[in-house]
Amino acid sequence: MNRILAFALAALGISACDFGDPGVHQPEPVVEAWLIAGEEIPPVRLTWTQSVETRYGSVPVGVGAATVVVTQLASPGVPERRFDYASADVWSDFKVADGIYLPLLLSRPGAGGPPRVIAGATYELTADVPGYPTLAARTIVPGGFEVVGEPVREVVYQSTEQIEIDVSASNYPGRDAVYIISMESLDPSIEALTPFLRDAIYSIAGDEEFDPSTLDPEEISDVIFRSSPPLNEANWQVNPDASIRLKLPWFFAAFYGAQEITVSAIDDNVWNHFRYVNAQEGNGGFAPGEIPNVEAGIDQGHGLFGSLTRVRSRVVILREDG
Amino acid sequence: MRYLLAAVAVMCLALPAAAQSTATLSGFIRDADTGETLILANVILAGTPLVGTSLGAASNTSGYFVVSGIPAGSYQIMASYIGYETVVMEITLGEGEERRMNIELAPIGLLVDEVIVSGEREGLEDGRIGVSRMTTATIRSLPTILEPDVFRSLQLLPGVKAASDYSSGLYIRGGSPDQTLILLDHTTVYNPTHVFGFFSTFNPDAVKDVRLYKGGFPAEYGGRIGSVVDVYNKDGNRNRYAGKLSLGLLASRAMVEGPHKRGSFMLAVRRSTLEPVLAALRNQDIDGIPNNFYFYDINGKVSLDLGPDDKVSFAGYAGRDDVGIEPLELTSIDLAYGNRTGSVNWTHLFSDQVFSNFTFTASRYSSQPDLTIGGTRISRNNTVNDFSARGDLEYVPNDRLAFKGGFWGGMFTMRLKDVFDGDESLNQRIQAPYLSVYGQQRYRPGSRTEITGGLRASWFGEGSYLRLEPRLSVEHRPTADLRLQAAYGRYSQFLTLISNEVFTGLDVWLTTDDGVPPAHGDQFVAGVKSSLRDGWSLEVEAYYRTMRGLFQLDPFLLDAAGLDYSELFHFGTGDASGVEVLVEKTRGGLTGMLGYTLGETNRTFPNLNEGAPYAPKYDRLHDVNAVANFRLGKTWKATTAFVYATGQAYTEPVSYYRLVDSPVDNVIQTAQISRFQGARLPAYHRLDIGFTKSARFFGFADYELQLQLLNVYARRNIWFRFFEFNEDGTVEQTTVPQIPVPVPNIAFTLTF
Repeated sequence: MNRILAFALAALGISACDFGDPGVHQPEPVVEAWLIAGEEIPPVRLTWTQSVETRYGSVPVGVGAATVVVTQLASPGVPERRFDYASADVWSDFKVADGIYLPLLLSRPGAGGPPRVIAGATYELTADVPGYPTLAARTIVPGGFEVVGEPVREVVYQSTEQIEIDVSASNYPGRDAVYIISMESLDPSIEALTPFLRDAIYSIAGDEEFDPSTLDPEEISDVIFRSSPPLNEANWQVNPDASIRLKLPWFFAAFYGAQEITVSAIDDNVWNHFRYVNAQEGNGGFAPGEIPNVEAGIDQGHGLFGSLTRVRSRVVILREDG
Repeated sequence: MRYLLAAVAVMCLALPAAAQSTATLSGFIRDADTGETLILANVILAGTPLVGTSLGAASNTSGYFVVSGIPAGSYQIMASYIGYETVVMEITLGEGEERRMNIELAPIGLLVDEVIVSGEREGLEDGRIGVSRMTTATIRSLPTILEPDVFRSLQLLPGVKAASDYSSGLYIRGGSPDQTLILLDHTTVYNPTHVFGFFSTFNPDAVKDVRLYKGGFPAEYGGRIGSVVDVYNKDGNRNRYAGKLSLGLLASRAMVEGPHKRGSFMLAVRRSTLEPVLAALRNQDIDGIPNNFYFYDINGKVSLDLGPDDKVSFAGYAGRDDVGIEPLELTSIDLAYGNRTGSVNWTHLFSDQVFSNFTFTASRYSSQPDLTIGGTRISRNNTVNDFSARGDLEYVPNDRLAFKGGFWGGMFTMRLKDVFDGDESLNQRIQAPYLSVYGQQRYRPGSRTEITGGLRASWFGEGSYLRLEPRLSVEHRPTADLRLQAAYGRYSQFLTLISNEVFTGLDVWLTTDDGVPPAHGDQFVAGVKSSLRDGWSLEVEAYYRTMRGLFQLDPFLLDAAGLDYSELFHFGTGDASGVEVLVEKTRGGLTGMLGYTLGETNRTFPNLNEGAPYAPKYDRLHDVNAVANFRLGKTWKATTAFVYATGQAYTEPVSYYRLVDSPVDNVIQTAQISRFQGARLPAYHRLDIGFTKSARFFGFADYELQLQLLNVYARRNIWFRFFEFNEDGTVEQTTVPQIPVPVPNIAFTLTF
């Protein structure tokens, strides 16, 4: 009886020490390619997943000896144009460790003009990495759109007239368009920081004197290029001519001066990638410590084979006091 | 179905045979000191002429009891309630006599009553399957973080878990907090929290009774697939004016109660008292100190006796939390939320055997976060209004049968309006009528067996869903001290909560609709309860429950604009099973309880963990809770609480990758790869201790001084871990602790 009791207590004690099973790191291939409508067929980057125990880059991350093909489809299952890729180290300064693959059409001398990504077209990617199942992904490039009318060229910071851009609506099969809006300051400096960002970065309130030469200019590098999360088309006002008016909030403005604004309509893969990464960063509906994996449409691997269509516009943000 | 009908016929045939020429004893059971009605107190007729039987009943939620089918004769009545002296009296009943007799029970002495002493362990209803009761004295005596708290006390019961030291949310038998119906005086409370989830909203000075139905609850309750917390506020002292004043580190409380010409009243107020501390910190130029922060709650009740058969009460609650902070230039955050409830309750006795209760309820939850970030204003107006009427009718024709039926119908209205930068980005309004009706019958085929069957039909207007929910429970008592119990029930739920474990001030309730069917689940419970010698008791309950059609806000949803309502959700299932053991000692110098739960909880959603089941973070294989009370002389008492639990499930990344060429945000993006909820944190354990001195205060009041220390041995329990992937390629793991240091608490209470 005592033995049974001792065994039961030991079993309880052992089971109480439940460490779970988080799994172990197994290197797997990761693909990265961004197709942008109207721009050249992009390079494809193939890398290995890294162990969280390892500093990124301390072991080679590039995948070598892979066979990469991107195919433009005429219709589902029907190829229209094939782009074979080869490791970039053959023709360029890239090293195998970078994992860059370039389209052969681009790389071979005399291969003709560089092919461009077509809005609305469907592309497929396959990548054969020795010893691994074939990676496969597909993207549908969002429909083309353009800036409509004459955008406002100058706005006064925090005035009632905000930065607005009218664009014709993009389109995407099965859903409304989803956009990411980016703003890049063309003349960034500490002196040009808006009060909100100056306080956020350097803890200097708007009415406080400051000497830019005493501040680390590197701190502003993270806000020179700022992007919104993916936003549904339904967020914005539809104009009588069916174009939509994109209005940018003031907290988006990091610097006074000239800004380049990019509006990108994104495909499902980019959209999924951002919403899953957003959830991983703790911004979704998950409890602290719950971290889902990213599912962005890559079969037998990880990464992103995404596409977007984009337009650009410029605006100058003026100080309130002129 | 044929068997069911046959059973009902047999049960109904028992009605006339037993109703002839027997007497009925009924009345209210009250606290002799305050006149408060006692809920689920027991009345037993000993010396019953029927060989081997003991007639008896338990008081209902209005304190009313009925014992029917009593053969004429002389009896010894024994009335008991935990924490009260058992009353024994002689009575003689004639044939067909209907005797109304109110019974008063005296609380056991000043100190002893706070350690859960029961005279006899003869509970009828108190030991109902799946039910736990927490006395307000226990709630006040338990060591606590700054304020005594009803929900944090309930978290010490087997089968009830906390998400963290920072949350008062109730995770009961594998269910999330929205699967628990919270009732205050019959009225649903939609956000029962203060300080954004740190405390529950109920003021222990105002509360009379807290009852937790962990599962397998009868047909009279519905609306949630998990459990019910049924809270009743005090009616007020019917004999004399009394009051209580408490000073604490976080808040202070005041309560007055007393009689009036036709009944009683009670008013309890609690308010945070942190403003001077915050002002001092702001004057020290410490960053991040709120410009304003307060919470308050007010509970009130007025009871009127309109006659011997009619009583009306008006109850109200109002509570609000508000915090304002201006952390940056052109930036401000103002978060305010609160609840208001009101109810009018009318109890009427159609006869001694027919008791009715009608309640009109109004419940409002509102949350108005208002943010200005860099000059851009983002605001939300989120309200829930629920107006309802409910009625319950109880009929006890004889000792073998009792019928109960009722309805609960109303209008649920949810508004959610978001304004971003001057433009309306979301404007959702859901207005849904709802109605549920139920009938249940208790049948005692013999003196040792009781069967309760019931059916609840619930209809919800949004999506027009009708659900039938059968319930059945069986109890057999082979001996006076042993109960064997089993219960089954089907439950459905038309609401879901968007909440955050860390911050409940933004809670949003959503409902079913077309394409969003209600969740439902089955619960199976079996248990053994035994009263042992010297005040010891043992309870063992096993449960298994399913959760089907769970609808929750899609956690990957980035932007709801323009989406169909059904696209806001993801749908999944869940199950939970476990065994709970509770050992209690309710008499002597050392009293307390030891609880153990062996449990497992799973969830399955197609978009998580590759569609495979996973453990939510409130899954615990082992959970041990111990509470002990020691008497230290005449005026001092010590209370300790110890908790041990298997570590929480969490996700630990094992691999990661980078995307470096993003044209849309120009940054290196890192994605983690892990087995979802595959890892476990180290085991959680914590010891709290408190000392209470109770004595007279300059001859005009009683005082109570509480000195408490939480986390006595400074256990650094882990709340969660997260990983940061730096641009230089390094990976940093950060561990966020639960309360990592011993936390003292002091409170002083005057009772007069």
